[in-house]
Amino acid sequence: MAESVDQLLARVALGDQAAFRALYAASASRLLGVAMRLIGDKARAEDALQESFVAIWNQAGKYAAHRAQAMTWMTAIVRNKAIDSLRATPKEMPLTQTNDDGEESSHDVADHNPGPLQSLLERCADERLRHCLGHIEESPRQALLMAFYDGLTHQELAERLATPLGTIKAWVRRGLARLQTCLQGAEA
Amino acid sequence: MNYQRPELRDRLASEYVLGTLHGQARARFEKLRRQDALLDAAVLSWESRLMPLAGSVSSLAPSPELLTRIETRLGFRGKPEKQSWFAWLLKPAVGWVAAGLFVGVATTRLVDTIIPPPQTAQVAQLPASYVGVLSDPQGKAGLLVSSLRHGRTVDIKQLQPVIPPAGQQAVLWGLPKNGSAPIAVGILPKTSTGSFTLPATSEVLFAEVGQLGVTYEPVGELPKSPSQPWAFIGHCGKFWM
Repeated sequence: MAESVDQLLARVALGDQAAFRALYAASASRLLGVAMRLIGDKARAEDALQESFVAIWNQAGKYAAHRAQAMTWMTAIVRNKAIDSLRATPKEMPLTQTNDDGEESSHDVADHNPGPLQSLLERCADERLRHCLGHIEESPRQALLMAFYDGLTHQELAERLATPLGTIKAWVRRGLARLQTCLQGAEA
Repeated sequence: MNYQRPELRDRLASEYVLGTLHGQARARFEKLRRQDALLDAAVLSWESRLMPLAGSVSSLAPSPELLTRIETRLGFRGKPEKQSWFAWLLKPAVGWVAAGLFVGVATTRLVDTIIPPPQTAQVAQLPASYVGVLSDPQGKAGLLVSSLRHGRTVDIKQLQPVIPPAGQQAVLWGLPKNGSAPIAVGILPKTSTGSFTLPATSEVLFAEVGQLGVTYEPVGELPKSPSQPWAFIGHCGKFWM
């Protein structure tokens, strides 16, 4: 039976290079998708993934397996590296983008269209999280999803949504607080 | 800004994980997080809440050469692996000699007569230490424990993951040769290699100890006696001539 990502990471923590390769094989595509979504450029997304796997190898010994699921821990590392890359060189936001198959699509942020972000939320496998986000008002929810999936700061959200910065900050703060209350209620 | 206010800390942690903090605020938060366990815990909680969202993003296969780049960067290719004291001990040739010495000291004290001179000379390079190799109930090696003879630090290396159940910690015990009650030595670090400080020197604590064991005990102060079965147990030997 194939080892789980959690088991592989536990072996990586012991300096097992074969486990590191197996961990990479099991998770790199998913993690590159996360970096690509934020950065929007494959070469830079791969650079962020490289930095992430270097950090995963170097920090696995400090990772206590019971603190979080391995995939959660690794995804957070990749998001942080990708956000660092984004902050260093913000991505251009073209009106259209072309995927690997040559298909052209309009950017889902520039046109304020919540559709693609909403469909990402609907595909989220965590039912509780989906339920709780679904109960937040539309504008704060859209701001939260744009921040998470597109890596936008408060200021960038204000520009994209043509909304005052103070309002954006209030939406994000209120949205996160409501999300926490809802998730904690679901845990109780 | 007063970072001691719990609600502010939690809000900053949530916005850091979401990704909305801008450059300076983000760098300042990361610095604070490294120094503050409570802030780190708040970040971990928010990562657990929000990261499932990333699961719905489409996967993308990396270029075939990316793994090679990563392995080269980590020194897996082209450069020798990092050598530690433990790695040296675990080399098959040295390891068998060490195991031979260990059993010899623990049982017959006839080391000088059973180890050929060239190998004895090699092993003599190790500092005088107490060494234990602990196995799980299935007999599989689980932990290496070592401490310099006159030192006050115990070094640990996990040979398989040591994961206490939630709310419990791994406690190391010394089992006296005379069969009296086990003595609590300390709480194992959660990391795969690590160390902790002893209340006295190894010579005082381990001179009369024949075995070392580990149990999972409720988090808190060291218990007076083990309340759980042995998760790992093995002989403790004096690693000197």
